[in-house]
Amino acid sequence: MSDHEPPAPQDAPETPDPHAQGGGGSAHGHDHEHHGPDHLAHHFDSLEQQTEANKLGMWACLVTEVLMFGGLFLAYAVYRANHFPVFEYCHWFLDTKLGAINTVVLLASSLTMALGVRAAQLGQQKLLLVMLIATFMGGVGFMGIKSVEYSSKFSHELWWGQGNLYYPVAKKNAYYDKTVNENLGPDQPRQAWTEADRTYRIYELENYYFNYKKGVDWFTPHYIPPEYRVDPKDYAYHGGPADPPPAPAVSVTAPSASARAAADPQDDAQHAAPQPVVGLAGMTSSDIGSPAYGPSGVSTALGDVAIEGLEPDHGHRTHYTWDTLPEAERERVHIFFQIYYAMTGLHGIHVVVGMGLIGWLIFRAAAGAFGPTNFDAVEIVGLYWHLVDLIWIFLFPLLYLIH
Amino acid sequence: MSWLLTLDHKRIGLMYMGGVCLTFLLGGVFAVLLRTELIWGGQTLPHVFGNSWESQYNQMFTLHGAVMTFLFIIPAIPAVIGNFALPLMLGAKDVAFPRLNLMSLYCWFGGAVFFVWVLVSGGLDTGWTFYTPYSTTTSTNVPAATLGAFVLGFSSILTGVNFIASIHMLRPRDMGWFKMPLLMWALYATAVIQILATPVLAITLLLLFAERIMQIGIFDPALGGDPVLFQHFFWFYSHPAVYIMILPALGVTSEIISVFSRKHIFGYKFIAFSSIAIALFGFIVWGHHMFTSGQSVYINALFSLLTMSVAIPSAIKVFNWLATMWRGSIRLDTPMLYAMGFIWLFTIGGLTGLFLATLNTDIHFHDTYFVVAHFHYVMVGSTLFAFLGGMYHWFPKMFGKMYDERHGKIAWTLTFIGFNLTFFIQFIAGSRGMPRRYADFLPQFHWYHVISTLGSYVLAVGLFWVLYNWIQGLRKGPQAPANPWGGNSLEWHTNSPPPHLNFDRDPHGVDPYRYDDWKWDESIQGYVIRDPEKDDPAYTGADGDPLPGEPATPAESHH
Repeated sequence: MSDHEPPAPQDAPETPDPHAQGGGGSAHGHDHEHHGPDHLAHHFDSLEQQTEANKLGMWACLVTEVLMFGGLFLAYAVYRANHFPVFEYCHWFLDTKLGAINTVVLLASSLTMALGVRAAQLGQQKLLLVMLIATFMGGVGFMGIKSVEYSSKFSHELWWGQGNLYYPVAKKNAYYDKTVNENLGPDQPRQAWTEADRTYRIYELENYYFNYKKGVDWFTPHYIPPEYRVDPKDYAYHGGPADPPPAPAVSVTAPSASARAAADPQDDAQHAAPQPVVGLAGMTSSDIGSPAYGPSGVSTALGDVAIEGLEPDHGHRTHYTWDTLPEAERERVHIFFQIYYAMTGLHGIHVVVGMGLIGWLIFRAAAGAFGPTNFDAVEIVGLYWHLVDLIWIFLFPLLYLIH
Repeated sequence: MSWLLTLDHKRIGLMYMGGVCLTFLLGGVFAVLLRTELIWGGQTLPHVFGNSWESQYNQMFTLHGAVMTFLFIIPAIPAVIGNFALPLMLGAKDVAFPRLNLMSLYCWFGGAVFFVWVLVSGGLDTGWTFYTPYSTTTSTNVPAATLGAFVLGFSSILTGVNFIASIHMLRPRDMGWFKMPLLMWALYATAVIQILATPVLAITLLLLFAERIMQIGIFDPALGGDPVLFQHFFWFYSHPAVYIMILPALGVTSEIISVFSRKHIFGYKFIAFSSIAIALFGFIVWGHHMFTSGQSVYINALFSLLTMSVAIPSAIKVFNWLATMWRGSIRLDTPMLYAMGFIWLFTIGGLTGLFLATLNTDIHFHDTYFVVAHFHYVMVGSTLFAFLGGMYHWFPKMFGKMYDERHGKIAWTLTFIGFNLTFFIQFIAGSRGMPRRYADFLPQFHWYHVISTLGSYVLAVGLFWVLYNWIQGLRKGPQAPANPWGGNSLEWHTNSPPPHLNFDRDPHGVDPYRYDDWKWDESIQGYVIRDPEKDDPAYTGADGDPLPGEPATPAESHH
């Protein structure tokens, strides 16, 4: 079997192949001309193997995407479980109609993508190109509607992070100092954000979102079904925008004990004593967990256990307003918006990436690269696009349909 | 510069090797610095950066941990040895997605650039674990570090995707799952963890980055957030991450032990399934890093139980290795020394892990040097030793040269002694109350630190000796034969170093742990295929496997 003689170790640049012999297997490695079609990579033996490997690789990548969004969904779940009033309160600021349109758009684009894959399999070049362009347009439409939604929020100061209207007052003053006050001249008065300012602006916002065009039909933006509407007389803010409210007590404490007790009798015990500053300057570690502040982290909505200030709503359709929101939750409203922007933003980034991939496919399809034996790329981009759609299908009810 | 655009897995593996050796050096420099700080009480080193000498110490241990964890030890064995050896062992020409492989290397470079940027722009002093709320408020450069770790996560994910597809798809037709070398099982399990766990780190770092830049309040209690939530997120990745570190090391050890005992691995299927079991169990034990975080005692008990059960598959491996060595003809070359050192040190690391899994003792040991010693035993004593052993084992295959065996043994001795000097004493210091991450210490701990620091110097000398050994081997080593150790897995069936497309003829599946087919050839200082007629007329070579070099039909009897 082996008729090689051991070489002088210093001479040969590399040791001879221990299997060197005449006959036997073919010298496969050097025969590039007959390896296969151009799109078969050199390290694969057959097109089937390459296709299977590509699909497996894409599924593995999709698993990583699911896990990544899973982390965000987990953050959502923890915060929603522990701070349900915030989520209920804030989701009314999202436009359900636009969200539903987005869902339909993405579903339709998934359909066109699947039809495109089929067209590639059947070699229908023109149909493939049309379907890919339609899918791309679906992505464009989605991002367009998303930008409308985002811009309407930005115009109402519902940003992520420190710019948010609901950001804690004491912390926001630091933000004001950095963004507003540093641009003022030495003579101009410094601006500060007070609790009163914020409350007024919040009432304005609620009036816009909750009472917009009362009495109109389901296809109007910000439609709120009749049973959810809040009677304006329940607001401390009486009348319309032209009638500014009487200046609320200019203190940074919570509304007075008697007013709160009137609004919610169960709060008596909690508000019997004057409460410390709701803004959180000067908070110490012993404040975490105190009833006035509210527990952080551990869910209080355990079955029927009633914790003051954080009662579960037992399936009743409560509709919180700023006044009825428990104190502990008022400082957490901005977190909803961060979670909203993180989830939809990360999803949006994935949509844009998907559009880039589809754009690349469009270029290649226009050059006629795809056919019945070569449609791997279309298929795996299709898998990615379906996943992006699936993630939106989960996001939409979780964020928009909380009621 | 063709190397920077190469798609050849062997070159990519070697580039990774150069990179991880550099980052290991960087992390090692921080380690020696921080140990030197601790050789005397109070301030030892001059205060060069940071707000105070204590915060300088904080930065040193943070950077040591972050560089070592993210840049060195997670990629080390999978990206260096795995990239090089996996296609060879599978008889393939390359990994399934060579361009993804190159992208993974670039992600690693990118992450490394971020960390170097962190070094020169503010440092990092949060501990490698980035616990909030300190990490959201400190003035050190947390954003850059989180982005760097985010990019490195992609390197890990892409390697994992590549390995899964390669192991599923690129085996020859007659190499079934249970004919693969055990390193493949280990890398497969590692790849599964990489694709499942790393994305959770990605989202954690993104949320931390957002929290930091925009002061949002997801994790910061002063803004309504929950710092324990960060710990859950972080450890959900970081515990499986330590299994990313150790599983390939366990695989490498299986290979080396078997080859250097010239005996079939004992309990192949048990070892294979235990790799998968460790991967799966690793996902459900993250809470053992948080026993003292205030979570409920019931969840603590559950995590404690699950953590102890992870010891079972690990122990299965150790016993199987010992059984492999029993009555084998053991050859004590450098790779074997590292593998045997691995078994000993991994056992110590694993057993001390049990003390940390037990709730009552963990209360005492949490955040003490006991924990530090435990994880250094499993990360350095085990993973690093397996990495070094694997590098020695595949050195002739990678470079076509042999290293100097005598220097290899000297380096091993220094490394082994230095390592144990450094870290064994830390178990005792920790159990007597020395807290971790402290720049200063009570006088009663002084001698513990002196011994540990001097041990670290010995370890450093040993590791430099290893480097010297490799460099000398590259420059002046004798030609390496195709099979210096007599292994039977497919990489030994081709030249050293392998040709561009790995094999000159299609390889087929063989039992990687059957060594009977090779005999020692003194003139080339290596093993060659035994010729049944010439060498041993009574040798039948028949138990179903074709002899290497023969077509895949049942071998005829040579009686």
